Amino acid sequence: MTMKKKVILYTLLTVSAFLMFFPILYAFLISFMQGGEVLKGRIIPSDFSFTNYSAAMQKVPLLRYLFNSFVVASLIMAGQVIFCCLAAFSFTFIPFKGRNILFLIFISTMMIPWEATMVPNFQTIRSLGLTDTYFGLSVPFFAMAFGTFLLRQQFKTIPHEMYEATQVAGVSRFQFLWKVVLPVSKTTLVTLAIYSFLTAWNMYLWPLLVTNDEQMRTVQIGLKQMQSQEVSTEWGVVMAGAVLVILPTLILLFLGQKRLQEGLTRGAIK
Amino acid sequence: MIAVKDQIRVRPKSKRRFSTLLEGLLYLLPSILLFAVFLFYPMFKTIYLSLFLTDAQGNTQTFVGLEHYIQLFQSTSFLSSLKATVLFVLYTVPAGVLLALGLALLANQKLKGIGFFRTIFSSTMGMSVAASSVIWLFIYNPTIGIANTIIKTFGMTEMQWLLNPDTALLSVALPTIWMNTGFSFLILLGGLHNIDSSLYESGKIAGVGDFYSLRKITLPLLSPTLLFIVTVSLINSFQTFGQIDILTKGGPMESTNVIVYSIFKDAFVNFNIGSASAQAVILFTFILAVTILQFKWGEKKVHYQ
Amino acid sequence: MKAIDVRNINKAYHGEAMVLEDVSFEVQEGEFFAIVGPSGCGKSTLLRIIAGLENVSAGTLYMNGEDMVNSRPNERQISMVFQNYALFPHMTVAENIVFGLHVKKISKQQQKQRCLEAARLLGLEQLLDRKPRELSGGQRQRVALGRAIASEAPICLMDEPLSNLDAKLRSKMRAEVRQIQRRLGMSMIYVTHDQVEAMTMADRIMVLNEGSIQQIGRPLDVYNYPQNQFVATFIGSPPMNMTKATLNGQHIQLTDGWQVAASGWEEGDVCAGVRPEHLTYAAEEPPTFTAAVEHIEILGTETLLMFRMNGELWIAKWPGQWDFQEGEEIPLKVDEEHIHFFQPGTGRRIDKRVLPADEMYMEAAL
Repeated sequence: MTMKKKVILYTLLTVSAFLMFFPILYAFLISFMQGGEVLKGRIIPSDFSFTNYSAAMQKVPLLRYLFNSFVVASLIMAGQVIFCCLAAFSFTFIPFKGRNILFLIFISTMMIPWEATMVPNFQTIRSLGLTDTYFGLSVPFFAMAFGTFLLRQQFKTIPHEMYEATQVAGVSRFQFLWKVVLPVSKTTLVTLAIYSFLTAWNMYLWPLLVTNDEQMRTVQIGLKQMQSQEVSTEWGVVMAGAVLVILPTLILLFLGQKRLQEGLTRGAIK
Repeated sequence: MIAVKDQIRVRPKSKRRFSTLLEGLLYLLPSILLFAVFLFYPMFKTIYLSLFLTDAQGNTQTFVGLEHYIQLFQSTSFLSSLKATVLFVLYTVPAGVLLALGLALLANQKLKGIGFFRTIFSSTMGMSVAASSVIWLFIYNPTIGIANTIIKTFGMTEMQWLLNPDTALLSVALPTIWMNTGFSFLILLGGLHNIDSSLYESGKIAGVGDFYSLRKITLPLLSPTLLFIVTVSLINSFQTFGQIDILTKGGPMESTNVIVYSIFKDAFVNFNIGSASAQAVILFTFILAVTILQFKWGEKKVHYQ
Repeated sequence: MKAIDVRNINKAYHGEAMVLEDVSFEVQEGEFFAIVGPSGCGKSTLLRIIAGLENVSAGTLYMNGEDMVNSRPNERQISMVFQNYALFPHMTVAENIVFGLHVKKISKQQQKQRCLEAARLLGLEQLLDRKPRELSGGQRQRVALGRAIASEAPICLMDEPLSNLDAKLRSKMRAEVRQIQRRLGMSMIYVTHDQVEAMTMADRIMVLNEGSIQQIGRPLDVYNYPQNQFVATFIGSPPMNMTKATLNGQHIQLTDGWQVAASGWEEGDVCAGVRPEHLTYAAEEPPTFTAAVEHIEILGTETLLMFRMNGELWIAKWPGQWDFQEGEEIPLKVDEEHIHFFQPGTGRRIDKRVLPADEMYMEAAL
């Protein structure tokens, strides 16, 4: 690669990285500013103080929201991984009649927009008395066609002879799943888990519908609440709240970026 | 030599096949159950509800047939909602995919420190709708936000980004593109990684230029991934809600009242559940049509490795 | 005692063309039985049917005297070695070797003992804690064998187990597998497309083509008395040379100058075949015929001469190193007893040469 080309590439990379990251950086900077500074339209805070963060914690039960989100996202992550594993295993290793049709039905569920079903779903959860519960927040999302598809693609790469070897040895199907398929598919499972967690953490509309109780709100709804209460005066506090919301997912993403990229592509195109 | 077991169960073939079927279904049962309760049942229920007048609780009162649909297509409010949705899709999908593709091509170079840039480019995947919207709400703030500061340095007059019906939808589209770039970038970069490097090497030996190999090697081989991203982006775009709820609440003058927001308002604010259900059915039809078109088109045009 | 008795097995997928047609054979206890045939002949399907990994369309299968045609693989007292070894990448060599023993309620201590025994037999003692990806191809192959040994099943099924190894290692493993099979006294069914493997390892071989049995017998009997044209050309390398010949009166006319006495035969065309090593150089005696060398390959220990016989390419294999110019006429000699005759339509062997009496104890089916 010529020097000239390198310089051009690095310049382009730096400029686009700055532009892409700017809103996040901006939020960080504002979160350290005092009210007056914000109103003057400054970008760099004169002094990095954490007063906005402690204010954010006091104004709304942010820790409680973070905890709720963590519980809900973890439940959905666990549920999706387990349910998708079982379904993908059946679609890959159990040759029962009607399997292909059933798989098509699974895939076709990706075409039903979740928003088109939210009214009856809300009614279901309400009539079961599950509003404002972790159960109601998480269980409707446990089954996921995309995850099943992603895992099936991975399971299909396991040589069929491995399955046959377990049959010859008399090892049951479930033990084959537990002792062979899952350990061999660790990378894809991690990808799916990260993806599930991110999506669940960032969920917005469903928690908005099924939570009324302050104690059960997730962090996304909490942030919206905070913003609508504080909007005109305390931007620094709102931004501190926003930073606290995105920090866990950003860290998760930075750690798992490479895995996500490899794992998700596999599901997308093969 | 090991003694052979005396008792060996003999299983008739059909019985074995039946037990395989049972076992297969057992593993699928959790997913099937949830899909049935939270996807298929509500989908049919939505269609059913769209044919009735309901009370505020969603209990059906009188059968009205296609009345809701007829009214919707006569109501200027719903038509403008449709228009906003289509415009929003047009604003966000092509621009978003192109941006992600550009970044992916840029980040696919073998350079020192490229991992850092990749992480930055994919970072918006970790951004929630709520957090992103709150940040952009501040960016768009007419008096203290940075959007107007930048505009003023270029000598233009201040703008009322989200408060002006002419610019509001575009102003919501911009953060949406930004938010979706992370995911699209990650998938496209993975797609680029999967292209066999020997293809580029043979291109290099043939002496073709960078742009030529982009057009003749990269894009055709990336087309399955691109198709996937376009489909996902389209579907996501049709389902936009959070940005609207935080940034504009469907205003000003309903210029950002996209279809999901309209469904939400009719169902949970106006308690007109029949009409909301009819809109949901229309959304479903839209997405179904788009997906089927994509597949049809994809089969013909997309190159598979 | 018969370890395996296969009777009239048929296999067809979804009513399509038959994969296996009326296959019957038996394997004696402790016998090494090789199934050989070109790819797609149904040999792997047959093995998988015996293993219980696939169903039959018709027919029965007795193993150790019991009808097993509908039982599960693990009820059949078998071990199996796969072409790609089916090693579990996340388990160590030791874990791979004892895989599945816990299901048979074998104690941890005994598992360990069997693992060590198998490892000692195969020279794997130093590698027990490694993962499969840290092993060479030959070592992986040994681990797969180790699993079969540790299971102590009386019947072992192998599906092209050596085909992923390089030539040198393959010939080494051939001997090793054979020795282990003898020492443990297991009954072995060994599927291969490589006729050299079948010839060198097996007590008996079965040649399979397009789903039906061509011949069953001891390797040398199959080589010396191929029952049809397919077996004649499939077994042996280079393959048996073939040409059309006409029968007129009391003679079979191979070329203008080469005829063989044939009394009491029906009139018509026949196919004649001669193995490359039976085409010898006629130095002193009068030649059977002469031919012009078309191409010559000197391999060091032997020399291959190629020439045309009635338009067909024939190969002669002579020990030692020979040097001829291309186009040179050479005198060749063939003993009459080394000419094989086959019916042109069915490909069946026509001279009713009987097998030597002491070799008759096993059937030469067909």
